[in-house]
Amino acid sequence: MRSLFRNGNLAIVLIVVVALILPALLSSGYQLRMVSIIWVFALLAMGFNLLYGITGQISMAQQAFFAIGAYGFAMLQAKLGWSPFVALPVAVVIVACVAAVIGLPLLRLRTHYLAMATLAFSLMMVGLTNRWVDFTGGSAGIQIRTITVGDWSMSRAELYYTLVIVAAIGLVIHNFIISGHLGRAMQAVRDDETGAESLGVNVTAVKLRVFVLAAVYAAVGGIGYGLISRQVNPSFGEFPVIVSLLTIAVVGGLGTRFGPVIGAIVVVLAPQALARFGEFETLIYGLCLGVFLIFLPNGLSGVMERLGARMLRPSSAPGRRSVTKNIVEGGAR
Amino acid sequence: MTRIGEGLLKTSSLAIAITALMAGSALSKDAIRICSIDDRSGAAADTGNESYRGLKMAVEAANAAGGISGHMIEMIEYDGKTDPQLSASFAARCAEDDNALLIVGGNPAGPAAAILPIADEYDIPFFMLSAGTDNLTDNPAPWLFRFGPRNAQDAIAYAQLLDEQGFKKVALIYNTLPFGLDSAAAAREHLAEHGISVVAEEGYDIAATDLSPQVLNLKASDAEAVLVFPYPADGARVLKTLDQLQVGKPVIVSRSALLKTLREIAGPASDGILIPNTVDTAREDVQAFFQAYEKAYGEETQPTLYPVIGYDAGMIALQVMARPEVVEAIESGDIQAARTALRDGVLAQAEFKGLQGKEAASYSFADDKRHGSPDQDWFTFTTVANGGVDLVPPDLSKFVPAR
Repeated sequence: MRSLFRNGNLAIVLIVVVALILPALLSSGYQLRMVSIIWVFALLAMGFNLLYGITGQISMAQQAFFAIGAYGFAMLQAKLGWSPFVALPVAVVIVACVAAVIGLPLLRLRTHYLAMATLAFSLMMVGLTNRWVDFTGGSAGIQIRTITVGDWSMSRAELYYTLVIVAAIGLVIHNFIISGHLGRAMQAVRDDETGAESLGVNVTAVKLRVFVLAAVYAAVGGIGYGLISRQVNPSFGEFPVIVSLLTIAVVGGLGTRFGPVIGAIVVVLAPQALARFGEFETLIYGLCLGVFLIFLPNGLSGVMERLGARMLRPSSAPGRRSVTKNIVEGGAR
Repeated sequence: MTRIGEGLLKTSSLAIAITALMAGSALSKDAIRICSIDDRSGAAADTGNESYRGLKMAVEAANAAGGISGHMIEMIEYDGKTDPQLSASFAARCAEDDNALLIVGGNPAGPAAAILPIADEYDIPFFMLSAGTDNLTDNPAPWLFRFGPRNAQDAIAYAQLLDEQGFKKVALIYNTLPFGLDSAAAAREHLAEHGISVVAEEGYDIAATDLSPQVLNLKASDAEAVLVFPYPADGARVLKTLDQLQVGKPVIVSRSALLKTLREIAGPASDGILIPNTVDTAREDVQAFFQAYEKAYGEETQPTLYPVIGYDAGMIALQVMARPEVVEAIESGDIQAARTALRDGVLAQAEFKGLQGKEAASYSFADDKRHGSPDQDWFTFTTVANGGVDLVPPDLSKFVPAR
């Protein structure tokens, strides 16, 4: 039974079951769109969590990979006439290659230097998508057609279920990595690169792998977002996306197993729920974020995981550590 | 308010009311919902707020006259915060959950571009306001109608003016946001058509605080005038730098300089600049509109295109709503049929008179032409006076090449 609880596997199963039932409880396509976007942002945030929350590498290029994935998927279809089933993996491979190429030199940098260098890359991408109008469509972007095979076209609900499955796979990989040898190496790199190297961790290889993996998560999310939005435009790579990502990290909990999912739920739904407050919406949103930063440094995921751990802890051994141990040590900053 | 102007403004409202009454009446009927999605608190909040107020004036006038066939008009407003994806989600909400008849909004290009595919997906008319990016209306978009001018139309207007005033060489400076880039591209094309060469060109990041290097390059060139394509805050920085470095060349600034924010920040540095505007203040109905606007919102407002675009979009929507086929679809409770009838009604009527443009000009829409404004007789020019406070008609005899 404990193996079921270990590493949050049961939680993943519960999340997927709820996600699969959810469409039956929703009353409109708009609501389905919103829950679909939650999974897109969850995927994007999982990559960021691995890269920053677990490995300690602050990258501001996630939104650029998000956009490149979506643009690659759209342009391979629009310009070369490729099938979406071919365009999708090729777009992801393109993003992985770009991440590897820029990751090699950039990952020599640390902390805010890395953040600035990756931010510069993002700004270049935004400039490119806006300025190269003939190629990228400029600010109007490129339309993405619904995936169609013969007479069958992917409906909103089918797209949602596909996203749930992809996000669930992403979550399993995310948690598997955190729990395994690579996850421990990542945490060692985050805590002390020199110390990790002295213990035999190939720091460069670990950082590069995670950087590429995070880019792949972002690319898959970007493609999903493109399919939901039925277009890709320069805003996919712009600042509001990284702001959303950082907000997910704060609200969900950085370095936690389920922070990306919980944070994405809040970040996607909060602006919709607060719309009724009109002019006070931004104020309320900002105040709530302040509360999270001050009182819940591990985010909602941290709170929930601690509560879960307390419930599962045998009463005869109060000092014993929980088997779930979902908050990765030192993960939340 | 002059009597003639007041009369003209009231006549248009009355026309809608009469048409609505002719189409049928009822004492209490379901409200017709119109969604407004615009930037109310982001980088382009001035445009969004002013357009929203203009739209609200049109709706309130219709409601005061009894609505459309007894149906009151209910406005649902969303603040897109210049965030394209948030705007797109609100668009889906308007179409699905709110059951709106149409969406009005889209002042910045990014959110407008994001709303477009949603409007197509849900088959809901989208009345796009001042987003100027040319190719927004290039792609097939059956539910889109644009009410503001395209950037190319601004470029046509000032290229004509520069040509008439004897200019041969100009310099461009623009922010690297879509609006700046698109405006600069349109300028290059249309200036070349008039034999005017671009002898210096500088792009800058919207967040750049020191624009001296760019402005010094423009000053060093032999340009006879400077064309600026900014957003409000960065535009003010450009104007202040031009002033501080005593560039001494005539300046044309894009329509963003119509916004109070730019002129307030730039202050006296904005005096004398020339701005293309689609509001002809010589028109009495335009004067009456702005007097009514100031009365309604209790603040002095300069005559800019933003409130007028919202008002025109609202008035045209109301005119088409009053058509019998649209009313019939609304009364049948079939919102999709009503949306289709509204779209077809706009195309069927094809030409609309509004407050934008010169007296003789009108909006015209067709299957393959979704931007309503014509290339000619649409723009006037205005200049800034009194320390950035007032927009007044320019003295073009002083707008001549710097030697």
